[in-house]
Amino acid sequence: MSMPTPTAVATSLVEVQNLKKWFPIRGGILSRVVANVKAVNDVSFDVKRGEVLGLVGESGSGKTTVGRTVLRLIEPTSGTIRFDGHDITHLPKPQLRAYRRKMQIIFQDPFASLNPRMTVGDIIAEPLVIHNLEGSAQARTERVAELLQMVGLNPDHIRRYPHEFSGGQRQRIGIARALAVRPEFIVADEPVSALDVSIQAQVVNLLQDLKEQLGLTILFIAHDLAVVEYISDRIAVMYLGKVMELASSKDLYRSPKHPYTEALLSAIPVPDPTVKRERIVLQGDIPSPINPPSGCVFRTRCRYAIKECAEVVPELREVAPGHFKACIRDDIL
Amino acid sequence: MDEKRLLEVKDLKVHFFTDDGVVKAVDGVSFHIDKGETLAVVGESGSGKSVTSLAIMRLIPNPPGRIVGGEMLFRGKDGQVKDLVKQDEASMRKIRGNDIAMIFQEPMTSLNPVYTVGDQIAEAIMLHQGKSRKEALELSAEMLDLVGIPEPRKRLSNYPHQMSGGMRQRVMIAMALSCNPSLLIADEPTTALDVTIQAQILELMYKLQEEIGMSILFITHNLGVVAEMADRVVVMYAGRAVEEADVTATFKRSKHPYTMGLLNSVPRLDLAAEHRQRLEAIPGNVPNPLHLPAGCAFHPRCKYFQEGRCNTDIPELQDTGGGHMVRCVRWAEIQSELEVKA
Repeated sequence: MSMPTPTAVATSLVEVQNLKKWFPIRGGILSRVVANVKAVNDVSFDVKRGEVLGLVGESGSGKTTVGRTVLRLIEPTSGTIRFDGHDITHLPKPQLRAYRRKMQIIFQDPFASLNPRMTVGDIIAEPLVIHNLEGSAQARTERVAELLQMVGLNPDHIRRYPHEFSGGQRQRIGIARALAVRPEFIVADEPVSALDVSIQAQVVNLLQDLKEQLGLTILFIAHDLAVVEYISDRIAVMYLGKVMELASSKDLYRSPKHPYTEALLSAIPVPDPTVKRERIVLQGDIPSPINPPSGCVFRTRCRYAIKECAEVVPELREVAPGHFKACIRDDIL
Repeated sequence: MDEKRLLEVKDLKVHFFTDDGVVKAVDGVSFHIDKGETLAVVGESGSGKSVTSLAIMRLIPNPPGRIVGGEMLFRGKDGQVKDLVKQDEASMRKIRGNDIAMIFQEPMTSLNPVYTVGDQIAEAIMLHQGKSRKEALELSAEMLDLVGIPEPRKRLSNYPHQMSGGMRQRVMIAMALSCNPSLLIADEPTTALDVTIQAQILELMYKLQEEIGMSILFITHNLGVVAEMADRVVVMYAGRAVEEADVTATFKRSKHPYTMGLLNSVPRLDLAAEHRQRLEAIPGNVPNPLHLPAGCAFHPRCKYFQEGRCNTDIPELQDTGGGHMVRCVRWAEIQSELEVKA
C-alpha cells in the first residue's frame, strides 16, 4: 500500500485553478451557440510530486474532460493549468511539445487505443520517434525491449500485432507506450475498467510498482471507488462538473463529509454477504450538464438539502486539515 | 424432479463450430434453481456464463453454436416439466417471455429505437396473454409504475433515446416481468450503469422478487453484486462450473483456488487501510478456448498446481458436504494446508 511520500515540502507538479470546459451546442440556421454543456465547471486541485491523485465520479461528472484538459488534449474554456510551476494554459503547440514529453496518458479501452496495423514494437517506439529520443533505430529497439520487460511482457513479442494479445496484455502495451518517453506525470483514464477482475489486480499492482520504481506522479481517473481508494494517496470526488470533496483516501472513506460521497460509498456492493449496511439509495438520475441545478448541483438528489442549497454555490473549503468539501451544511456528517 | 425445483440443468454442453476449431464454450455444466431462489453464476469473460443463459432461452446462434448434450428440465407455469433442449421453436416461443424472461447488459441495444416504450412492453402482453392493444397498454403503464418510473402514462409514448440508462433498464425489467415469468434471467443487468443507479436497480429487483416471487438467474462478474443478491453461487471457469455453494460459504469458506484467487483480487473498501495488503492478482491470462490446458483448465494459473495430478485428468465436481461442490483434485489438501497456516 502506497503512503503519501513524506517530503519536506510537498511541491505541486500539476496545479489546476478554476478550470472550466464548456462545450457549445449550436443551433438555428446561423449556427449560433444556443446552450453550453458545462462538462467541467470551476474545478481547482493540485497533484503533488510523487503522489497518486484519484479522480472519481459517475458518467457525466466531467472526470475524463478534466484529465484531457490538463494535458491540453482539449482546450480549456477558462482557468489555468500549471505544470512544474509553468503556466501551460495558452502555450502554443511547438512550445507545448516539450511538456507533452513529460505528460502522458493511458486510455481505458485497450482494444481501441492501439493501432491494429502496427506492431507492438512500432507502437511503443512511436513516441520516441516523435520526440526524437534514443537517436538510432538500434537504441530505440533496445529501449522498447526494456519497456516490454518493465511492464511484464516478453521482449520477444516485439514484432507481434495487438490482436495477438489479451485485454490485460494490451493495457500493459498502452502503459509501456506512455512510459517510453520517461514522463513525470501520467493521466490514467479508467485504465482497468475494461479488464476482468483477476487481470485488473495485475494492472493495478503493475501501476503501483512502476510508480514506486520511476517516481511517477499519477492522476488516476476511475468510476470504481474501491480501485481508486486502493491506489490513491488523495481523492477528489466529482459530480456534474464540480469537485464535491477532496481528502486523503483514508479520511474520505472513514469520514466522508459530503452527502454525495456518503451516498456513493454506501452504493458500492461489498463482496461479503455477512456485512449488512444501511444503503442510501439516491433517487433519480444525474441532472443534465446543459442546465445544472442552481446553487449546489447535487441538491436535487441530496437527502440533507435545505432551502439555502438552491441559492448559493457552495465553495470547496477546508473543513479539517487537508479535507475539503463543497457543501454549506456543517451540521451533518 | 423435486417439487421445489424450477429448473434443473444437467451436463449441458454448448459447442461452437468455428473455422479454427471447436470452442467448447459450455462443457458439462449442471446446476438447479429452486422456486423463489436467486442463483448467481459468476465468471470472467470466456467462462461460458452468458452462453449458459442463452442456452436456457435456446438463443444460441446456430450456426456456429449448438447444444450438443445435456438436459434442461423446466417446470412451466402449468406445472408440467419439459426438457428445454428438446422443445421445438414454436413451443420455445410460448416459453420465452411468458415462463422465462431475460434482461440484458446493454439497455440501449436491447430496446428497439424506432418503437415507443409502450408498444414494446405491450407487444409481449398481447402475444402471450391475448389482450387487446388498449388493455395491453394499460397494463404496460401499470408495469412502468411498478418499476418506479414517474408519470408512467406519459412515458408510454417515449422512445428509448429519450430515457437515461437507468430508466431504460427499468423499462427492460418492466417488459420482462409483464407476463409474470417464473424465471428471470438477468445477464449483467447493472454492468453498464453507474453505482448509484446500480443500487437503485438492485433494490428494485430485490423488491420485485419479494412481491412476485419469481426465481432469478443472475449472471455477473461483480462479486459485490453477488454478495448482495444471491442465495447460491456457481463459479465458472473456461466452460465448467468449478465451485457451487450457498452465498456465505462461497465468500467465507471457498474451497477452489480460482474462487479464492478471485476474492483476493478485488480491492475491498470495507477493510481498513492499515490492514490492507497488496492485491493478490491471479497470474497469467484466461486460456484460449480453442486450446484449453490439459487436465484442470485453471492449472497454469494455480498456485497449488501439482505436476502429474492437475494436468492429466479433468477433475470431477465433488460434493464436499452440505451441497458445497468443488472441482479440484487437491481441495482437501489445500484446505488442511490453509488451516495449518491459520
